[in-house]
Amino acid sequence: MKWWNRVRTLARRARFEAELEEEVRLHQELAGKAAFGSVALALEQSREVWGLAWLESWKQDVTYALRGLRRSPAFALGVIAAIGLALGLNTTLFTVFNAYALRPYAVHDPYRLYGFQRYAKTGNARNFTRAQFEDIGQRATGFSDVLASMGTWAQLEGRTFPGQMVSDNYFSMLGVRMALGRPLTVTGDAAVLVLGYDAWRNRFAADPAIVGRKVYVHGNPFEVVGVMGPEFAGLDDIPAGFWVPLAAAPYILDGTDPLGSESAAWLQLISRLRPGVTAEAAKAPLLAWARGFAPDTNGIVMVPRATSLPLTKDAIVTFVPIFVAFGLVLAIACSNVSNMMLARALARQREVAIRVSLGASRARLIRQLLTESLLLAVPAAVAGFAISEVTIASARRLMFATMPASFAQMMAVADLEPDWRVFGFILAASLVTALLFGLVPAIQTTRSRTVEANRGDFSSDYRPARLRNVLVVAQVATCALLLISTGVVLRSEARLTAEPVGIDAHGVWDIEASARYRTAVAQRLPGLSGVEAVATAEHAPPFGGSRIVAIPSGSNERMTMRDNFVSPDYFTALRIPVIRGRGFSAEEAASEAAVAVVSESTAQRLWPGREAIGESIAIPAPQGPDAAYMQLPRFPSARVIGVVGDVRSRLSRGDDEDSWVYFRRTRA
Amino acid sequence: MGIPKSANSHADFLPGTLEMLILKTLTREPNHGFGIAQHIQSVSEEALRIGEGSLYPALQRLLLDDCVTAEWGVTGNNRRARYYRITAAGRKRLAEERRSFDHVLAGIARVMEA
Repeated sequence: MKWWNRVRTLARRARFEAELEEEVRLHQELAGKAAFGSVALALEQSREVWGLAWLESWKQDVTYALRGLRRSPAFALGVIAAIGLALGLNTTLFTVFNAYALRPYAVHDPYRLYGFQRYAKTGNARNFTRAQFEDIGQRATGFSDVLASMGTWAQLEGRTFPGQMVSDNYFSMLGVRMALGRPLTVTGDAAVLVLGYDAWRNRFAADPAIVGRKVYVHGNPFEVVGVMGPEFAGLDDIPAGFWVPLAAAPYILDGTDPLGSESAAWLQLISRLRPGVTAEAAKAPLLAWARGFAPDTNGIVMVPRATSLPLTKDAIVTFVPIFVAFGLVLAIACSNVSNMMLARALARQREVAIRVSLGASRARLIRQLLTESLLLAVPAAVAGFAISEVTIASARRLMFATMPASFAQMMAVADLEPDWRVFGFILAASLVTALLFGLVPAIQTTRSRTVEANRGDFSSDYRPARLRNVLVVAQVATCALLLISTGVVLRSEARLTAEPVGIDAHGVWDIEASARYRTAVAQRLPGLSGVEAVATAEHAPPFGGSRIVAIPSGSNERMTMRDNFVSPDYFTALRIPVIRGRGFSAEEAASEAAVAVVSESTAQRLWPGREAIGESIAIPAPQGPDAAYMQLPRFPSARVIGVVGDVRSRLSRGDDEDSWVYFRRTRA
Repeated sequence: MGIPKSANSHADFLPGTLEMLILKTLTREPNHGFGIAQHIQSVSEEALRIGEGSLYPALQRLLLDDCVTAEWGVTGNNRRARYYRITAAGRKRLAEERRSFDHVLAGIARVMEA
């Protein structure tokens, strides 16, 4: 290890010199008259072997540069501030990117973990049912193991936490470390729970005696068996507050066996590929397997689950413009500083000319000027790191402060502590920056003009005006570009915020009551003073609405749209205007009347150029003897009695996304 | 290297030869710089005289390449001196140098006898 020997010697340089000198002196003493050659020369040449001469000249450069910077502190501070700010912004972005896309989960061998889903010709990719999960676990496939998990939100001791219902092998397959107690294992008891580290610290004050305690989740008692280590918070974007077995589903979701249904394809499956098996190769047996129970399966998607944001083509396409925008900010700072350095270089022409005429080589001068840039880049990197830490902390505070309180208490972000990748990034970025802003001025300044200098003419004809103009123009252009794109983003944001969604939710409250009390609540609330209208609905806006297929009268075309079961007062309560016809009457609500109300755009889609009222739609019964499908509407023919205003539910204007059909709700 | 020829036999050596002689000397026993020079001088019957100007840089090169290690010790007449010891890498290097030296020497001999 040659370089290591060198470094070691450089580190103990004084001792090295002293020992060498002692050695050579001893030699001369012992040799007496026979000695020849000078001590100094022997020392000089011995030193050269270790490359210490290089160190000497570098030290000179540093001392000289420091002296120069001390003479112009305003310049130095200006450069550090400009580069530090730009580096700080870029480091902030990188820290977030690192936390989601680069840092792998703290699990055993994360890069072999792949999540998979099946997809049919239409519709989204689907997850799997419990029966399917149990089945795949028994088959020989390209995996060494498969786990199932399902995310859920649940009240844990009075606060809503994101939680995970997981299969028995979850902890052993991931190989995660517990802070306290034991992980979930195959046990007879379903009502056991592992707490997330943050939930344990924030909700239970890091109680060391928590293991064995009873806590209430969704109103049911669970025994805490362990606390997860701080480095793992689940395989989802939002850190999990707790883990419970899949068998605990009845205590968390409603129903006696919520995962038992054939339509409850809610389990996310994550597999560990066998060594040597590629994700592509693992798809084929999975496809064959999935076709066995769902013949309409068209394909299988496999997504790497080593990081919370897999770096697929889509993710890269999303991130590149952001990185370019931030990189441009850094480029602006560099060109700014380059300009300052050029201005400084003009003032130093005389000095450079004298050094050139004294025999300094151009490479040596460039090296010296680059040393100066590096000395500025290092404190700039430190400043940038501090700025990014402050930015991240305040952005996080701002986000939570501006979020609705009910949402903020459920929200959590990934761990944004800097790690070696962040430090590596800022180091590399500051070095590149130093080269960017230092190299051009260094090359420009050291253009050799020995002849003029020797004549005593230091004024020189060197005017870096063109280069500076180019820098300024590029800088202004980039700034304009960034400002314009920021303006566009802000404007579309403002327009989206102002976009009428079709409902007026001011003074509207979403009340969740358990099934037992729902009827009583719906009956008694209207009697209270200050209550204008009470409505019940299957899905509360703005989200939700299941997707159904309907056939309009006068056509055979099957069209998809969203549906909702609502009570007569729904349109009043949310101030959705009834444009033509009427809403549901109380009698219709009480009966099983086959009537429907459609939104305006749906009316136009279904019966273009015709009056919708009086037409009817048929909702074919979904296939399959499925319990969950029983909730969906099915009408041989439902008469359209009214047309109401459009309600936007998504940002995208999909054909069927905002097409609504309403049915009367008979249940409260 | 700017060393007067009269004062140094280094310029007359083939490259690597000095290191080979030092390593060979150290295979007998660890020795300090002066001891190494003395040994080479006496064994070669005064034919080879090594100056400090070439001995110490050569020792530094060997140290850098991990061919020898250095340790402070005490000489026979109670003087502090740095003793060099050959390492496994040094022995390997010695064998290599020796092979190429023999090769070159044979070549020179053929040219001279032609």
